[in-house]
Amino acid sequence: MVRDNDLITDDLAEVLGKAAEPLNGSARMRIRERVMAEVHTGNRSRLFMLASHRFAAAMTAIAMLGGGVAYATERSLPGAPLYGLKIAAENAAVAVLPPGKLENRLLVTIAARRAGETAGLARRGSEPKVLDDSLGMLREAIRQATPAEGTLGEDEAVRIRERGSDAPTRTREAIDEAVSTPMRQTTPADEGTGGRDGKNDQPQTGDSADGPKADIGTQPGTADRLDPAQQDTAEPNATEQSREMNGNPGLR
Amino acid sequence: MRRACEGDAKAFGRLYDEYADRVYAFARSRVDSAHDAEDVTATVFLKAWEAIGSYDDRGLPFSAWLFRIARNAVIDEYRRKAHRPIPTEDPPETGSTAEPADVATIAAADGEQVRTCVRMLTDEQAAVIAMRFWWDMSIKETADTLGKNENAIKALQHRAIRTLARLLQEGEHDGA
Repeated sequence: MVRDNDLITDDLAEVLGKAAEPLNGSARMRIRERVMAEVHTGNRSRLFMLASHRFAAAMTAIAMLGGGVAYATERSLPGAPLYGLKIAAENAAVAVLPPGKLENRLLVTIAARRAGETAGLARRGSEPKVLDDSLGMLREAIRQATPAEGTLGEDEAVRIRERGSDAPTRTREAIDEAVSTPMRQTTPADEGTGGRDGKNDQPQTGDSADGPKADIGTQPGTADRLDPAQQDTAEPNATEQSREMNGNPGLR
Repeated sequence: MRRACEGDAKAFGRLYDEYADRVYAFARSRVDSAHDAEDVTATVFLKAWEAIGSYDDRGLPFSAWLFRIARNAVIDEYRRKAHRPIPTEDPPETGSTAEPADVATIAAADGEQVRTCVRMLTDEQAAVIAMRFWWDMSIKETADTLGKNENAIKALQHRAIRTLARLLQEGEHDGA
């Protein structure tokens, strides 16, 4: 019977209820047979679609894991024009993979990439903010790659560290520290603030929230964005080590 | 429900058994022939089957979700047939409160007369009548389904009943 019956009487509800034309037995069966015939046909289509979806996911993952992404894109660093494509490809691959070993392996690969990027930026002498952002992305990637109830495996940790092994000392230490002390796993309070749980949220580099900007860390004149006390350490001709030692508060 | 959402045809068949009457009743109140109502009912369940993978039971109740499909299917049927415009404007009201006379008028009519007059209601009025009295949906569920607030649904229901009574009265007079 009708609820919230504040406007009408039960009598009216009963009268109107009876006005509904009943579906007679033969019509009910006729429609049912028609619907279910399509449903069973559709079932086969669904299975095919499911198989196709899994096949596509597997192919994407294989391409990612095997380095199948275009070389230039794969090698791009934060701030480079192709970096957005790289992140988009990673997000797409993660999004289509079901939870499991393949996804975990992919997430570790991505974390290792972030370590390699951080090392590359440090070698290039990028400004402190860019390096800090890159480290932030590395930590986030490690968090994603770390099982919810556990820690990063030793092999996985080694893989990530190796990609950052050619970084200048301070950066290498920072990468090691990020691997050793991964951030806590996502809590409800974290939801909506980023991360791959959202399947398409990746921490951005610095102020490039709406997309990577060109060569943030290598543009001439970027030193004037640093604190005055740090400007002398961001000289274009300074050595990598001195830049890293003096110009990046986040790496001290 | 969960199994149907996962693509279990048998589970979906049970959903058909549970909801077929309601879908048909709504369809029959909006289209001219029983044959068309059967077509609409079949279409509703086929569309539901196509989309059921995306149904999320944490949102709308299933009945509300299915009713939306039914309502769209009826509108599509109107467009396909193009036999008459979809009534969308509320006819002017002749009173401001639900009168006992309205109840008496509707109670005195038979089912076919009521259905004939429901076909003359606007899309939203007919939807409210169907959801509230044939689908046994609450004011809130009806409001959620139509994307309106509860007060708007109460007002809509009130207008629908008043209009229905007026149409029935006019029918009596025409018949006399």
